[in-house]
Amino acid sequence: MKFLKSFLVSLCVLAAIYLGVGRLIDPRGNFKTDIFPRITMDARADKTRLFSAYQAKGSVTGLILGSSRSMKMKPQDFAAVAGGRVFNFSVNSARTEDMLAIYRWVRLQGARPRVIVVGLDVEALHDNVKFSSQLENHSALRKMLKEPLPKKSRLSRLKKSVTSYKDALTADFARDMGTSLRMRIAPNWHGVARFEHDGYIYYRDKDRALQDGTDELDMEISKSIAEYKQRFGEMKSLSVKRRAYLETLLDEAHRDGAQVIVWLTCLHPRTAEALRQSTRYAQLLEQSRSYLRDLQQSKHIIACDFSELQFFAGSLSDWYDGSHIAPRNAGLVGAALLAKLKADSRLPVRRAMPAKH
Amino acid sequence: MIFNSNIFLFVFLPVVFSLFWLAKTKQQRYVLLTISGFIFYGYWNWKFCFLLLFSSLISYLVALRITDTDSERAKRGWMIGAICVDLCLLGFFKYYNFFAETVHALAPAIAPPLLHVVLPIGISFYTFHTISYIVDVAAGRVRATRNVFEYFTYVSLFSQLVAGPIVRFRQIEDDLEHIDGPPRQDYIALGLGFFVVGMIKKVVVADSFADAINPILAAPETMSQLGAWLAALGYTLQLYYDFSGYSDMAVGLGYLFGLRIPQNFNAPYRALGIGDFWRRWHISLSTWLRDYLYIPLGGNRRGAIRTNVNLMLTMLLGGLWHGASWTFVLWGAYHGALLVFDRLAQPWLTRLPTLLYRGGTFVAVVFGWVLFRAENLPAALDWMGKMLGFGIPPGAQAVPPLLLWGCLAGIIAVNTLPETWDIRFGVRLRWAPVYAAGLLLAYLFMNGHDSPFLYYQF
Repeated sequence: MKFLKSFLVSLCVLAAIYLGVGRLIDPRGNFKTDIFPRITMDARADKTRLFSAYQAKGSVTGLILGSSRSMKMKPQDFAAVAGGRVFNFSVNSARTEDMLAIYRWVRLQGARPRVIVVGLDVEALHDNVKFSSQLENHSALRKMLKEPLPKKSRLSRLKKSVTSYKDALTADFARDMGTSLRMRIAPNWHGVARFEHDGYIYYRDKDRALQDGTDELDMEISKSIAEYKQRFGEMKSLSVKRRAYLETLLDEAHRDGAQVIVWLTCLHPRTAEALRQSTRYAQLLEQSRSYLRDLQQSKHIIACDFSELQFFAGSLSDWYDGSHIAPRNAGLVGAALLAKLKADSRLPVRRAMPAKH
Repeated sequence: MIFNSNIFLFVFLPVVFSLFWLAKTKQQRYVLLTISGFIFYGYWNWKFCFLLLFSSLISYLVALRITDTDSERAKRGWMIGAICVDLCLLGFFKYYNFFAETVHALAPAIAPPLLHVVLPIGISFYTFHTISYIVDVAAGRVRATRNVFEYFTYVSLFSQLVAGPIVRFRQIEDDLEHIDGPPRQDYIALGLGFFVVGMIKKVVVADSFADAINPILAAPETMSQLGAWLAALGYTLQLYYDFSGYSDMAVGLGYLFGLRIPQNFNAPYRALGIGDFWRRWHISLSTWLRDYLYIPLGGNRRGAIRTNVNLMLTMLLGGLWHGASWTFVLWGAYHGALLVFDRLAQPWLTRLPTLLYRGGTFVAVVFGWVLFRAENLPAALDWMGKMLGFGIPPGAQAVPPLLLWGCLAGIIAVNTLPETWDIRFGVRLRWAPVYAAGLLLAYLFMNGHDSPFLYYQF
C-alpha cells in the first residue's frame, strides 16, 4: 500500500497548494483576500465605491437603476434633463429590493436625484427567489431594507467556507485565477468588463467583437435561452413583496421630489419566443404591463413599455446575447426615455402621461 | 452513482476499498463486494436491486442444476429456460414500450396497453453476464461456482455492473479464486493509472466535446454543412473518449481490488475496414455477439449467403441491444451491411492505400454515429442530409472555431496517441505524484458538473 499512501499524500499536498494559491489570488472575492483583482462582477460593491467617489466630485442629480440590462444606458444622455451629474447604478440581477436599497443608500450619501430612470425586468418581480447573495453580503445596502439581516451561525460560516473551497476546485475557478493574474500583470487589461467612473459599463471583448463584426450572437442567444428557461421556469406570478418594494421606492422618490420614469426591459425576440413556448413568460409579461399601467395611474410616474423591439425601433442584431441590448439599441431606448422625460420634465412631479409608448 | 461524482470518490470507493483490504478471507471479500455492488446499483433505484438479485439467483441456481445433471438434453433445457427468463426480463423492461408504441402507431385497435416501463440501469449488461455464464457452464467451458457470493461478486461487481465491459466468468475466475491475496503494488499503481487516465478522457475531453456540439444539435434548423460535419465528428470523439474513459476507469477499479477486467477498446478509429473496427470497438460486446450469437447461428461455416445473413442478424440485434429505437435498429443494419460489404470487397479493399482505407472506414463509422446520436429517424436523415450539403438553411449558424480545432486535434490524437492499454504505467513510488496531479486535474473539470456516462442509457 506504499504506492497508495504516496498517491494520497501527494494528492493532499497538491490540493492544499492549489487551494492555497486559489485563496491568495481569490479571483471571485470568496475569501476576501483582496490582493489580486477580482474578475467577477460585484456591481453592488463596485458601484457603491464608484458612486461615493463620483458624488464627492459633485452632487448627483440623476440616477439610473435596473439590472445588467440597464448597464448600457449612458448617464450623460440624461444629464441635461437631470440638471447635473447622472450615475448609472444598475447592478447584476437587480430586483426591486436592490433598487430600493440603492435609492435609500444614495439618499443617505447626501445625493438628491431629480430624475430616476428605472429599467424593470419582468423577473425583477420574481416570486420564487431569495435576495441576491451580493446584496446579502453588502451590509451597507442590506441595512437599507427593513428585513432583519440573516444570522450567521458558526455552522453556517463553516458551511460557507467549505463551499468556497469546494467551488475553488473547478476548472472555471482555475481559469479565473489566470485571468486575475493577467489583470494584475497587464494593467491595461481590464478583464471581461469594467465600470467607468459614472457607472457605465464597458465590455472589453464583447464591444470589440461588435465593432469588428466577429461577435457570435446566435451562440450567445442559444446559451441565454437555456439560462432564462431555468430562471422563468420557477416564476409563477408577480411577487407581492417585490411589488411593495417597487411601490415604496416610487413613493419615497415622489416624496423626495424626483421624477421617475420606469421602462419595461426587452429580451431578444428569439429568447422571448423560446420562453413563451416553455414557461409562463407570456402571461408574466402581460401582468407586468398591466401592473406598470396601474403604477402610472397611481404613483405619478412615466411608464414605458419597451419589452419588444418594435416599441423602440430596435435592431435584431445589436445585442450581446439573448437578453442584453448593445450600445445602439441602448441609445434608442435612452433617446425614447429622454423624449418622454423632456415632454414631462418639470419639478415637482406632474400627473401621469397616457399609458404605453 | 457514477464514478465521476463526489459521493463515489470520497465516500463509496474509500469505504469499500478500506473494508476490502481489512477483510482477510475470501468469503468476507465476496460478501463485501456483493453488498457494495448492490448499494452502488441501488443508489440509482433500490427497487431494481430485486430484479438484479432475481436474475443473478436464477442463473446461479440453473448453472448448478446444469452441472449436477448428466443428461445433455436436460442441460440444454435448463440453459434455454434460464436464457428465456433473462431475455424475457430484458425484453419487457427494455423493449415493451418500443413494441407497444410501434403497434399503437400501426394498428391501435390491437395494440397492447402503453405502460411506460422504467428501464433499469445496466440491465443490458448484467443480462449478458448471466447468459454468458449459463452458456459457458452448459458448454463445459467454465465450472459453476457453488459459492453464491462468489457468483454475485461476478455479476454485481460495481466497476462493470452498469456499463460494462461485459466480463465473462472465465475471464476473472482465477482472480476471484485468489481474491484473498495481499494487495500488490503494481496492481494498485496500474489501477490508479487506468482510473486517472479514464477520468481525464471522460471529464476533460469527452465532456468538452459534448459542451461544444450540444448547442449545434439543439438548433438543427440553423445547422450549416460544416456545423453538421463538426457535430458528427465531435460526437464521434465524444463517444469514444466517454466510453473508453469509462472502460478504463472500470479496469482501474478492478485492479484496485485485485481483479483484471479485460480490454474493451483498441484504437478503434485506426481500423482498416469495418470488420477490424468491430475487433477494436466495445470488444467485450462484439466478442460476446460473436461467441453467443453469430457462431451458434452458424457463423461463416454454412456458405457465403448464410454468413452474410448471420452477420446482418447479429448486427441488427446488436443495434437493438443498444436501445429500443428505430435509429439503433437502423444503425445495427447499417453496420451489418458494411460488414457484408467489407467481407465481399476484401480482395479490392486491401489493395487500397492504408490511409485511404483507414479514412474511408472512419468516415463510414462517423455516418453511423449520426444514427446513434439523433433523437429520431427524421432528425438523423436531416443531419446526414446537411452533411451531404442538402437542406442547408439560408441563415445557417457559424461554427465556433474552437470546435474545428478541437475536432482536428481529436482526430490526430486518436490516430497517434497510444491507447490506454499501450501506456506503460509506472509502478514505482515516484509515479504516485504524477497520478495524483492527473486526478486533481480531472477533478477540477469534474467538480460541479453532473455528466453521466453515455453508455449508462443502454
